[in-house]
Amino acid sequence: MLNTRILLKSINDIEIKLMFCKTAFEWNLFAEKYEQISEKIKDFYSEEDLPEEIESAMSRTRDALVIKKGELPPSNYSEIFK
Amino acid sequence: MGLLKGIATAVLEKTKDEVKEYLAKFLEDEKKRENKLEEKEEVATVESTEEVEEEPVLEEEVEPEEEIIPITDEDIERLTYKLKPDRIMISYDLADLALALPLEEFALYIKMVIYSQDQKKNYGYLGNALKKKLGLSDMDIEEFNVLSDRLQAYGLLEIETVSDNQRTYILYMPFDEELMKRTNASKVKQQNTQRRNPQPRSDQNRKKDNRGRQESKPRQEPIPQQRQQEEIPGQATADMKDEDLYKSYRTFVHLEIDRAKMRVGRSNFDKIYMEAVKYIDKKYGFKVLSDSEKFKEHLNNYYISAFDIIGFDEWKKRKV
Repeated sequence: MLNTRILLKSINDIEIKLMFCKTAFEWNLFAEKYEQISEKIKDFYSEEDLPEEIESAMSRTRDALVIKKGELPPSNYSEIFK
Repeated sequence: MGLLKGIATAVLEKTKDEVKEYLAKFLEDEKKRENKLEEKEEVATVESTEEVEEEPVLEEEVEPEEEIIPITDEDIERLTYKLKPDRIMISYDLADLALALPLEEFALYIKMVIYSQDQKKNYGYLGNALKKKLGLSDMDIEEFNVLSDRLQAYGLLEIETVSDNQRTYILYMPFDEELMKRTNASKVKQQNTQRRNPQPRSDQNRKKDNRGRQESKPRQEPIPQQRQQEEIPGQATADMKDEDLYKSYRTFVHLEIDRAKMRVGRSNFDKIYMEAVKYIDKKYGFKVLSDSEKFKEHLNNYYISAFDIIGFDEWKKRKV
C-alpha cells in the first residue's frame, strides 16, 4: 500500500543518495527513479490534494538533480572525430 | 754704457735659451699627447673588431640548427581499436622505431602509444588536455609543442592545425587487421592518394585498356576535384546536400564551442554549463535532461547564443 510516508521517503532517498553520485550514468538512474516516483505521486494524489511536504520534497529533489547535472563533467566535445 | 749693454745682451741671450727650452718641452709634451691618443684609438678599434668577429661565433654556438631525418616514411592514418586491448602491446617494429628516438621524444611517443591504446584511437586534439592526460602536467606547453613537432619531423606524428588555438594529431601506429580498423576519413584519404598517384602501367596494359574502353564502356567522366579533396572537419563544399551541410555545420559549432572553452577557461565554462542545465530544465522540462540527444541539442543551441556563434543559414552563405 502506498502512502505519503513511503512516497516521501523514496523522494528523500534520492536527494540523499544524489550526494554520492559521480557519473552521468548514475545521474540518469536517479533521474529515472525521480520520474517514476513523480508519476506515482500524480496517480496517487489529485493536483489539489497534493500534500505540501511532498510538493516541497519534490521540488527540492528536482533542484538537487538539476544542480548535480550541472556539476557533473559536461559532454566531451573533443570526441567529434568519432 | 758698455757695462749696461753687456748686461742687456746677457739677459736677452738667457731668455732666448729659456724660451727655446720651453718651446722644446712644449713640443715634446704635444708629441706625447698625440701618441697617447693614437694608442687609445688603436686599442678601441682593435676591441671593436674583436667584438665584431666574436658575435657571429656566439650566434653559431647558441642555436645550432638540428636536421631531423624521418625514421619512417609510412603513411599515418586514423585508426580505432575494435576492442580495448587487455594489455598494452608494442610490436617489434614499433619498438625498433621508438628505440631510434632521443630520450625525451621516446618517452613522449611511448606515452602517446599507451594513451592511444587506452583511448582506442590514435588521434585527437593536441594541447593542454592531452598533456595532462599523458601525465605531463609539470611540463611547459611550449616544450610539449617542441617535442611533438620533433616527433612529427621523425615521421611518427601528423599534426594538423584546425584553427589558431587548436591542433589535432594522428599518431603513427602500424595497422593490425585483427585489432584495428581504419576510420572513414583515412579511407577517403587513401583513396585520394591512390587517385593522385596512379601506379605506372606498362604499354601493353595501356593498349589493352584502350581497346577495352573502345569496345565496351563509354569513357567515364573525370571525378570532380572537390571530391578528391580530403574531408576536413567543418569544411563545406558546393555539391553538398543539406544533410551533409548540417553535419558540417555541427562540426563547425563543436569547434567553435571548444575554442570558446579555451577562451573563457575551464571554470567559467563549467559555470556556463551549469547555467545552461538550469535554463534547459526551466524551459523544456526535467525530462529533457535525461534524454541525451535532446539535451545535447538544447545545450548546443544555448552555447550558440551564449558564444555568439553564427547560425546555420549565415554559415551556409559564407562557406558555400
